[in-house]
Amino acid sequence: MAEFLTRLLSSGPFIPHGHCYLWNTGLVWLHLLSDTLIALAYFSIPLTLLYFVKNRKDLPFAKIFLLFSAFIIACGLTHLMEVWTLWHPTYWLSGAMKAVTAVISLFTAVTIIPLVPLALALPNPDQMKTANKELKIQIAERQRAETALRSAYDDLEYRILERTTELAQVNEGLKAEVAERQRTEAMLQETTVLQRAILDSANYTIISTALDGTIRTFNKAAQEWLGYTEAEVVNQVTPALIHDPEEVVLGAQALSKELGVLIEPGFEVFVAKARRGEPIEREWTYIRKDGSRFPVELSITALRDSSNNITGFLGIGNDITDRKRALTSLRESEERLQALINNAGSVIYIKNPQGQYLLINRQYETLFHLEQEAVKGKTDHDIFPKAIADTFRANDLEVLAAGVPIESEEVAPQSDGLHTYLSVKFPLFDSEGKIYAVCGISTDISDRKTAEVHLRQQEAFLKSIYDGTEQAIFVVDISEDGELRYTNFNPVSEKYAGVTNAYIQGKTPEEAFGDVLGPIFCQNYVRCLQAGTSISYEEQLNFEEHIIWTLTTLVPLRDDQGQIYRIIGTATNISDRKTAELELQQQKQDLARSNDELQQFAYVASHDLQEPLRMITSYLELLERRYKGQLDPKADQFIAYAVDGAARMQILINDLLQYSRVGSRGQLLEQVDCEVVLQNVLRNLQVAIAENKAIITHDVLSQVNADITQLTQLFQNLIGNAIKFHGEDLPKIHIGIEQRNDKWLFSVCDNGIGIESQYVDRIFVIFQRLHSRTDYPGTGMGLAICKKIVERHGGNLWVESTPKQGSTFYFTLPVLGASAP
Amino acid sequence: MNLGVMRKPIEILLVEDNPGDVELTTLAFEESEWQVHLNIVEDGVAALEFLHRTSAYTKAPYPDLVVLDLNLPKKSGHEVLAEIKADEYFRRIPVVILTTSLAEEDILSAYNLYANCYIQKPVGFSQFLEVVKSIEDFWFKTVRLPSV
Repeated sequence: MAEFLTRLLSSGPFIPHGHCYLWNTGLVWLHLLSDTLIALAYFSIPLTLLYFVKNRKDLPFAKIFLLFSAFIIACGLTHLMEVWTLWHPTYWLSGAMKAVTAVISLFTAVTIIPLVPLALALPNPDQMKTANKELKIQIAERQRAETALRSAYDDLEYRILERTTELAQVNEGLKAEVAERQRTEAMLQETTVLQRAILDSANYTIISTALDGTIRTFNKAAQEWLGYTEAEVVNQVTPALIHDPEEVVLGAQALSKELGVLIEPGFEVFVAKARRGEPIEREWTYIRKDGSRFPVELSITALRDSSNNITGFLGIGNDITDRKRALTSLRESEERLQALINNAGSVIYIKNPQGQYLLINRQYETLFHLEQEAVKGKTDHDIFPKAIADTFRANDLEVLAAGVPIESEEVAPQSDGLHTYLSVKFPLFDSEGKIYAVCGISTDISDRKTAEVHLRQQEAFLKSIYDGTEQAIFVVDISEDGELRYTNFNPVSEKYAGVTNAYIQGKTPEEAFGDVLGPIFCQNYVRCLQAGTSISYEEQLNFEEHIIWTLTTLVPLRDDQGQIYRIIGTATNISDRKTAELELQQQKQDLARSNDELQQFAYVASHDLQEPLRMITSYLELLERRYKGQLDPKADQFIAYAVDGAARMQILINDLLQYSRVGSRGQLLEQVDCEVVLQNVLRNLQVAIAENKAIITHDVLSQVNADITQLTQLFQNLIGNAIKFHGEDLPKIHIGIEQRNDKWLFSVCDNGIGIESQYVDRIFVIFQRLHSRTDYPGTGMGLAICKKIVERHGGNLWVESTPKQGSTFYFTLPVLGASAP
Repeated sequence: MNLGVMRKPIEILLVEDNPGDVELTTLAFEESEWQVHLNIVEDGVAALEFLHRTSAYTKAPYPDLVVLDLNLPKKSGHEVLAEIKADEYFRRIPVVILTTSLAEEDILSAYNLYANCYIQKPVGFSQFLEVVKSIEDFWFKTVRLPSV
């Protein structure tokens, strides 16, 4: 911009215009003077125009004159510029000037075109002359009228005279009237004083206004409450001063709606209804001079004169701050109470004396699926089954009769069954002290009830155990002084210890049972405390009356902090068991001794009994050897009998010895392959098998746990018997095996002579024989030994037989790994 | 050593309290093909006195073989056996236990005490003869014993 201005005002590289005229003095002067004069002329024309415009107020198109002035001035300026540029080549500036002039000239030219028709419509001087002629006619008429008026005036003067006389008469009348008025005024004065007193002593704001709202009256109460003096408001302001404009706007809206006409937010809001003759009373907020507020109840009435025309309005305001506060406080208190009632966990209800519901709380609604509104006016009989409703009503009536709170347990049906309630019911009194309702607060105590019943059952259950058990139960507490003191003995404890529960209570073991037993008990209790866990032990108790053995268990009980505070002891009388144990021990010793004796017998039998037998045999033989043929044949026979007898005696003794040794001298049981045992047996019996042409077959035998010597003897005896007791056919013998649960069942089956059923048990008894020694030699010990061997191995031996067809001897042995017998 | 060609008879110490058995044993050895001198004592104590040549046996010979019964008065055959085998001088003398007992514990303890053999007295005289003959055959003929 700055640069632009500089360029505009600078002369730049141009040369002054004078150069063009080659500084020809005549030419320069010509231009100089011509341009200067043109400029002067151009400047003077607008001045004249302006003066004209200013003084001809009625000049139409005044603006166009102003435009002409501007356009001429601009032209003047360009000519002045021509003079300047003769010496100062600021062509930019002079060009700009011309441009400005061009714009103004153009604008003027454009503006003037639409004005031409208007200018043409202007009245020309002929028209003006016609108008003047008409004017002259009008003036002549006027003069005629004036003349008529003057004659009328003369008439009027007469009339005034007449009137004045009338007025004098009226004036007399008026004087009388004034006197009357003065009297009335005196009375009025009196009335005004009274009104004033009333106004000023009233405990209301009393404000009256003129029709337009200007305050006319502003009583003392109004002055005091609102803080304005009478002078400040009366005839000065409208009640708008003391009202909340927002409230007035809201009031206007409400009123417009109510009346169906638009009421502007202003004075009309207060008086619209009063104007219609309706009394109006509503709450408004008054604003004191200091800006503070208070609520009033304002009643407005219209003031009317004797012709019932409204002359103003009267507003009487009552300060309702206290009432409002009381109402608010009441409402809050009510809400609090409602909240309490509704949020109470108990069921709360109020019924009138007829039993109709007035109120139920939310808990009531929830639990019984009812709604406050639906229940109102109904009785319990409408809601609950008759029996239950009867109870409720009976309790209500009791309260109504007694007039005091009464507590009772009530049962009410809920969706999940009957619930027990603890109900407190009390009368509600009206202001006259009459009962108008019964209020009830019922608390569900079903859980407590159930727990109570459960607890009682549990207690009875425990007590029945405590009292009825065969065990002694006693309780030892660690008292506050750290001593162990008895607190309870059950009946069995009383019986065992020979004391009563009452006697031992609170006593230490020493106090209760003396210096001998007391410390023993104490030691055990301390042992339990130190172990911190239950302990069991057997003890012999030497009470005064009797001695008993007990199996005692002490269990420590801990409190919440983990401290042991009590020991529960139980003692079982095991005297009988102990006696039995001692007897058993005695029997064991006896048995051992008996076994030793048997052992001794066996030794005696094997040695001492055989010694004389051998003497008999040997010397009989010696006799035979040395003296055969020297005695008679009978003697030889006798000797033979004696030798035979002695030999059999020896076999008997050996068998007996073997039998006695099965149990006492057996070897340890170990895993034995029966197949191997059987092969040994068959080898041992080789001669007998060959002699009798016996056919022996067998299953594949298994492994068993056995004393191999005895097992060999078992098989050998059974197979030997099967060969020995063969029938007429060649002996066929089968040794079988099969598994029965955890036992092997062995069988030795033959086709021999069989055994008659009545003898099947006898054959297993020692020395029992079924056949003559001549037919079947033997001692009758074999099967007895077999039975003893099988039994020692945890099995059984028996026989099934059909005479003349054969016998099967069965025996069982435990399967390897099965639990030992 | 070949006992058969020795001039000195074979000295046998028979420890046996039963006169019947003593008689039978004596009869049996009488039938022997060997020249046998049978020294007889009737209890264990006497047997040891004989060996140690004390008391009544100061002139007793050193026996070549001891035939010992187990069931003996005063000291049992086992005790006698134990003392013989505990003595360096006597332990090499073969001790033949000849007894009626077939009790396993007797047999076991006899061998545990280093008895040289254990023979049950047989029933019947003929068997007795066989047993004595087998003793002679084995100890006098089959085996070789130290010369002193």
